[in-house]
Amino acid sequence: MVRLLLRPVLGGAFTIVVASMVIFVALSFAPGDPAVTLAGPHATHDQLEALREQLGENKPLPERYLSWLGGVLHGDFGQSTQFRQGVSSLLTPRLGVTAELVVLAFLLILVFGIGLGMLPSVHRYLTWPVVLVTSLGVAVPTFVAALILIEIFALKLGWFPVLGSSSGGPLDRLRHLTLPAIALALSWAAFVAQISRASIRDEEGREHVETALSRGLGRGQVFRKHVLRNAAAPIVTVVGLTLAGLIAGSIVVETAFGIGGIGSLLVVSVSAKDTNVVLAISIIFVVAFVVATTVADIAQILLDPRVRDRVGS
Amino acid sequence: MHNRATTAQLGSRRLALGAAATIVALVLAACSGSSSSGGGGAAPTGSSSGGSDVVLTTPKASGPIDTLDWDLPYGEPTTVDYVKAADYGPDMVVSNLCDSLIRLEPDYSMSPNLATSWKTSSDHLTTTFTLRTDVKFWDGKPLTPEDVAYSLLRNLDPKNEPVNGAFFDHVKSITPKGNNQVVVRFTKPDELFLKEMATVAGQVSEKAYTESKGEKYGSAEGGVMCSGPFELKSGDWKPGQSITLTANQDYWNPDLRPLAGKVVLHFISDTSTLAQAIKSGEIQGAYELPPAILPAVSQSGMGTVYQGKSLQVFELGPTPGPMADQKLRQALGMVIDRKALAEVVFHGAADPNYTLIPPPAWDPSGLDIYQQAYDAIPHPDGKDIEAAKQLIAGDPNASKTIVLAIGAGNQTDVDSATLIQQEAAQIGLKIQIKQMQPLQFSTAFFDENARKGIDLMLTQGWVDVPDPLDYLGLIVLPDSYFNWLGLKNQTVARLVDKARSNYDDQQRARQITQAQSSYEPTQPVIPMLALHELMYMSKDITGAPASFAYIFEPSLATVGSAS
Amino acid sequence: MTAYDVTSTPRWRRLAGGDPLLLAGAFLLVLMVLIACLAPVLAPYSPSQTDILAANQGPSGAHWLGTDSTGRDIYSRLLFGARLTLLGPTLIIAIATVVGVALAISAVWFGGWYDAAVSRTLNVLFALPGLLVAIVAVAVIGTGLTAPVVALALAYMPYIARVLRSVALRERSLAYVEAGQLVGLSGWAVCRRHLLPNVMPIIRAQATLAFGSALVDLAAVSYLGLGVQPPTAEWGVMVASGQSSLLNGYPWESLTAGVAIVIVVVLVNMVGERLALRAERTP
Repeated sequence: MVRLLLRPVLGGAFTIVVASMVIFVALSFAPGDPAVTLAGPHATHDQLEALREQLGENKPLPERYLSWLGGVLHGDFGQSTQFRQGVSSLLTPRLGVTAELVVLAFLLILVFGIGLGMLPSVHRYLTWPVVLVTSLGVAVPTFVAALILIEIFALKLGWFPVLGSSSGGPLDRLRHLTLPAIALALSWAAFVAQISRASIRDEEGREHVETALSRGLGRGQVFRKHVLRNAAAPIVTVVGLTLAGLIAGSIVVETAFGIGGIGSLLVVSVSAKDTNVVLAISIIFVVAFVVATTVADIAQILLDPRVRDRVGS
Repeated sequence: MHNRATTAQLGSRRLALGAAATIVALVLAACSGSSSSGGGGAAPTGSSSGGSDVVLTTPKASGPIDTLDWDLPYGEPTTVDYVKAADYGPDMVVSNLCDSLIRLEPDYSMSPNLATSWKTSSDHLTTTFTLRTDVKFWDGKPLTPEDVAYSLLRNLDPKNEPVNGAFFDHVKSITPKGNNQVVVRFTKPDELFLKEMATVAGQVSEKAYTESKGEKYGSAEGGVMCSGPFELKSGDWKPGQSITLTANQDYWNPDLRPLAGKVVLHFISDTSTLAQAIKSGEIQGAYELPPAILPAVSQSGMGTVYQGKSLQVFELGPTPGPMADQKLRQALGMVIDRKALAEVVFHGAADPNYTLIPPPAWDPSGLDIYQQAYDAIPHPDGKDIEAAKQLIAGDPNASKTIVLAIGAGNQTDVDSATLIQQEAAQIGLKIQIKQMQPLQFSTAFFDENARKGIDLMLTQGWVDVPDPLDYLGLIVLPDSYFNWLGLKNQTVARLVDKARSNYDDQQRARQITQAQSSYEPTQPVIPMLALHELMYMSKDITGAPASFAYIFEPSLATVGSAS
Repeated sequence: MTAYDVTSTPRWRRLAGGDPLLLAGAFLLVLMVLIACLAPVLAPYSPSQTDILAANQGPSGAHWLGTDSTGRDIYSRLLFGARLTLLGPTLIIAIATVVGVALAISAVWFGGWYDAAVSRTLNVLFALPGLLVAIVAVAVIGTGLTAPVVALALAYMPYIARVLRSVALRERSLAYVEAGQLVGLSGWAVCRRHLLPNVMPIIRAQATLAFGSALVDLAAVSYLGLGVQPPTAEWGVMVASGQSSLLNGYPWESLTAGVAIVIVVVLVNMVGERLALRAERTP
């Protein structure tokens, strides 16, 4: 088990170093100078130089990167140039908001994605409606979904608020995050449903399932014991990838619902060349990806006896 | 994401510069304070000259409310330190938290605030402010002359990244005197200084607190410590979510004690989201309502959109390249249909403007002279295509592609640029639109290298106070910051210089209009529109100032119940 | 069945293979591409012709789908918009496929440290969301089609490469590759004549499936204002720029462009799935 965890951790660390280096170098080539805007229209040349010095813009690129990396190893992600604040304290509350949104969307995907994928097995007539709904669902871009959801459920029916952010209690936050989570979950849920349907269909066609049925076992029992168990592996993999994708998907949803999470902050920070913030958010994305895929791998091992035996021995 | 034109606004901001007339006219003088040096200019009362009806204030509120949900223009502020505030959002928040020495009223007149009076010596080298003695910071400590001197001096230290440092360029020293005075000494006379004391440059924070927070002062972590009508309590700026202001029940000025117990400031940066939040009632008020959603918000039946007096302009700034050709600038100025632009893109929330200085920014004391000069300038209606064509016939520059830069993600700018592009095509000018990222766009305002490959910048800017000189100084002088073309008009330079040292309002207006008749035909910028301030309030509330002066006022203190 | 047997039947019939859904989907997609190509002939107006007096009109005889906020004909913009909307993802998938296939096959072929290096690179790219890479690329290169296309191609490449690598590994162990080498064919010739044709069905299915998500991602970039620049017509831009009109009571621009995106993605996904199904059945 230790070896199982060591690989993704090392791989993740490698990915973080390479990706942060690339982003660091890329952003240094982006046009625009934060010092010029921070200094305002009346700054003298000397003031501007002093500010550049203060921001570390005058040092060579490798030195700047290494000092950033050194800071990160000590848990210091540096300062945000545009918010003039430590990156950690800037990100912590926003990360909480994004996490709430992603977890809610993820639950929706689990329930509706897998549930929808199982419907055709419950009744054959449901196959075509499910195919139709999931094909459409996969194709609806998040920003179109957001537009439609707000128009219907927030403005016409008034069931949910337009704004995704709230400073109230847990229930109030849930109410505010429902529409954004649905918009975020929609196409992923449809995708998971398609994968679930496909792998369940594959398993249902297998010999041992048909044998079990012919032996007179109940449909429900066969479905649970033979079909679902074996079909779970590919579903778990896709669900893992979904979780990683959701965090990136929050970029669009947070903008459309006025939510102050890390996704909307990323867009602002990239255009303001706030390198430390961009790097920190990128690291969060990478870590989320590594964690999600690793958890999915482990879940797969626990679910699939064949793989479990292989790893165990 | 439209996150969108935030810093672009910062880039286009024009600060008041140049000499000023005698100021301080007392209207709505809230407090007892004996007024100071003689009031020269009478305050304008109704709508400003030129264009459609705009208002200055809204009906007075009838009672208190518990909570007010207000949206900040252009998203989350990057700071609430008055020294660094250079954008709509930061200016608006900090002006509700902190008091300035002098107060700017909704009609752009000025009245005593922290300073009850001020006196300038006959050689104009010393100004003495007399301060109120009953002012307390939120933590209960009294406001002292040391706090005032310290706060003003912070604008001079580059470490604080001051944006208004230039207003202190002529300052030699600022020292506390006795228990209620502050003395400012100048290296040379600077009448602009007094005017700026009514903006964020004249605000005061507590010395002990500010020093203890260091670099973090004004951030979400560090907060601020001021004496204004609202208080920012620790932890009430939730990054990414909202800033909550709490009423300061002990505010020294009883007329401005907040009617709202709490104000929640939201950071909606997406235009559509804002419209939807207004329609659903989640947002009760907002300044700088994007014109694109004016019809939607007006028709929603949720409240009223006020069109207030504003010193904001909408224009095209030419940079070296084909647009250095005066004929091209003139021809383009002739084919732009300003009325259509104001009606279709701005939904009527703007007036055509034909000069560098928009009518609302005229000095109130010389209105007749400015109006006469304005009427004498051609007002092209965009219909005389033939004349414009003839003007550039055979001109080799007319066949070059002109790159028009706009800030990314602003639908009003995109639509405006699209119309200008079509209108230019009528006379054979090829315009290519280039959307730039906010930082890149704002850098282009200050950095020559960033303007390479750009021929025109679509600009929205503002003037701090109504005085043509502060705008002229930025554009038409040979060494002006925004004289991108490097035009060297010595006649204009001489007249503007003379006007600066001229204290006779009428004479100065004549000198300025004389300069105008010299620079205007060369089109240093292509003027298009004078904008209105668009402010929304829902049916249940009222009382906010409607004019653009809101950015330097405690604008939310007077907002209360409408019934 | 090897790659040779089927060359006698017409190419399209071989591709569709009597699958009515595949046929119908492919037919409609070809029709869309044709419409995009013939936009200048079919569109009643120029896509950039503004008419201020006719801004924000509903559908009429003169403007079948109405006009946008500057009075441009929405129907004409939709037709012209199809060009960049379809071209963008096509470029993304083309680049991603070519690079992905080359990397995967060469990695399998050479093995060793090269294979390890390719795997590492792919892993890094895997962990970076396409939208993040696109936003950073736009900051560096500037707005327009180039930055997001390059960035999304980079983001989609590892998905194609990873699938291909496992398939190619399997194929390499098969007898024909070794046989080809014994006969004296060069590595390149074996790849081109044997390996590539055999993995082609999977490449085709993967590429088609990725096309749909690439289109949606690219539209999201345009929606964020970072992609194709106005006044150029593109469906993502149209959804975004029509939003204010939608709120003001003129839904046509956002609505038609949004529906157009959904229709194309549904069709492409349908074709992709059928192709994938066929690829699975091919031994």
